[in-house]
Amino acid sequence: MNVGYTATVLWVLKKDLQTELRSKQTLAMMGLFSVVMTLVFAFGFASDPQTNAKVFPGVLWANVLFVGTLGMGRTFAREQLDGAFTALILSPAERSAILLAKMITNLIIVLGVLLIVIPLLALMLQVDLTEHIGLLAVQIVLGAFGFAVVGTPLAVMATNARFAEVLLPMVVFPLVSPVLIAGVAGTGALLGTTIESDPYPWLKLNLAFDTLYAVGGLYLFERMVIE
Amino acid sequence: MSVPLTFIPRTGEFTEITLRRVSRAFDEHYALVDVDATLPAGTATALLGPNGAGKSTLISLLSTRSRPTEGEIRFGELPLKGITPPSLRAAIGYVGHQTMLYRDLTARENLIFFGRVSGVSDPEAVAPLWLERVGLSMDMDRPVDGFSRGMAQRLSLARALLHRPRLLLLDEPFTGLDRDGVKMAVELLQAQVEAGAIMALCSHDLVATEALATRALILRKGRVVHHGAIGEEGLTALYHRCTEAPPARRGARRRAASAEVAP
Repeated sequence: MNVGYTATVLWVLKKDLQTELRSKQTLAMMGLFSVVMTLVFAFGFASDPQTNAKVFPGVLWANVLFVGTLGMGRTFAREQLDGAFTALILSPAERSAILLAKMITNLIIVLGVLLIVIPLLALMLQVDLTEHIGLLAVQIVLGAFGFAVVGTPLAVMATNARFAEVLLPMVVFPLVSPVLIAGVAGTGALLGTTIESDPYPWLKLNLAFDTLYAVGGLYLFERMVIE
Repeated sequence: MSVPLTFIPRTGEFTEITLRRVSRAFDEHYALVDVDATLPAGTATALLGPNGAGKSTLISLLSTRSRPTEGEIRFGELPLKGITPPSLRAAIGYVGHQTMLYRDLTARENLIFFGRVSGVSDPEAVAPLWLERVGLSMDMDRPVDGFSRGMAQRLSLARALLHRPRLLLLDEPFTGLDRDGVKMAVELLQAQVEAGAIMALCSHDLVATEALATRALILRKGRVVHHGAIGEEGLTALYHRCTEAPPARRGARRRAASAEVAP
């Protein structure tokens, strides 16, 4: 009856992606919202190339903020629909492995949406990202993972709470502000639009944040699911 | 392939569950008060009581999903506290008010997934056998989203029994089932008990419950008013006798559980 840790992560991840690809509920909602927001920002802020480059980090990370928030709100929606989460939590599978799989699912879905939105945003604001694409990708992955590690365990706690839709962002936004600050400042440094031109301290901050919250979340999750 | 679809005892597994002065409060209200009970192997205990009596709360405590506010629950020698070990969770099968299934997955995919996370060896081979047993072999590759409540309930029973657990917790297991479905469920569950499983079930279908139960635990406003054998009078008469009489009170220090408390 032993259930391996890695196997559990892979099975839950596979199931989550399978169900998401079939229903496309989260992807469609996040994608549509994100594209509309990008268009609004692009038409609202589009100016000369230098101003566009200055605006770009803020617009990009505002997108990450909204997409990430929508994603974490949906993380356990399907699990809760018919109570499947209870069956999953009562199974002998390692509970932290279940949470890790959920974090990775969240990350993949958010990155999938951003993969469409970022080129669109760069195109509309005419910002050339080709020179910094590698480091920008690392920043985005770390930022999106930051959202996932903070939001996913809190989404579990919020599922049984009244006004969960309101409660979750209220708790998550203050906690993810270091991710957003590091993201905006790091992208600005990368594009040369801020006084600080070194993006690495911001990357390290994001990495430290992600590690701290991932370890904390995985450790505490077992206790979070006991009522 | 020959795979038994009944419980198989495992070495070192608990053979009895004991509850000692178990109480469970939600904020200021006690849903259960001083519950003493023993659930031995090879028995099916009917958990009965009016709405708000604490049946679902008791099932939730036995499932290890929640903890008693006071008192102790022991699975054999193992007290329930802190983190529930995976080996104990592996010994529990749970059917709740909801189907606990994934709508976007097919019946077969649901069973294979839950089989995998429950440590069932070769779930791909075992899942069709269970689907056949619960009468869903013709629908095994259909998404659960298109199932009727009765079909989903059959699948839910298969999900709970798939890993052949020692403890079966059944909260309204006959919901949505037609007459053939109830007959199938009773036979299937009876076979588990005869093989040594411990069963606790609560259902408003007293006829089906009577066919299964060997003992009864009757609650009223969170307190036990009967625990033990059903006797010659039968479950229905016992239930009415116990729930129409004033509940026995033990200890005045706790606030009486109210009927409004959510189970």
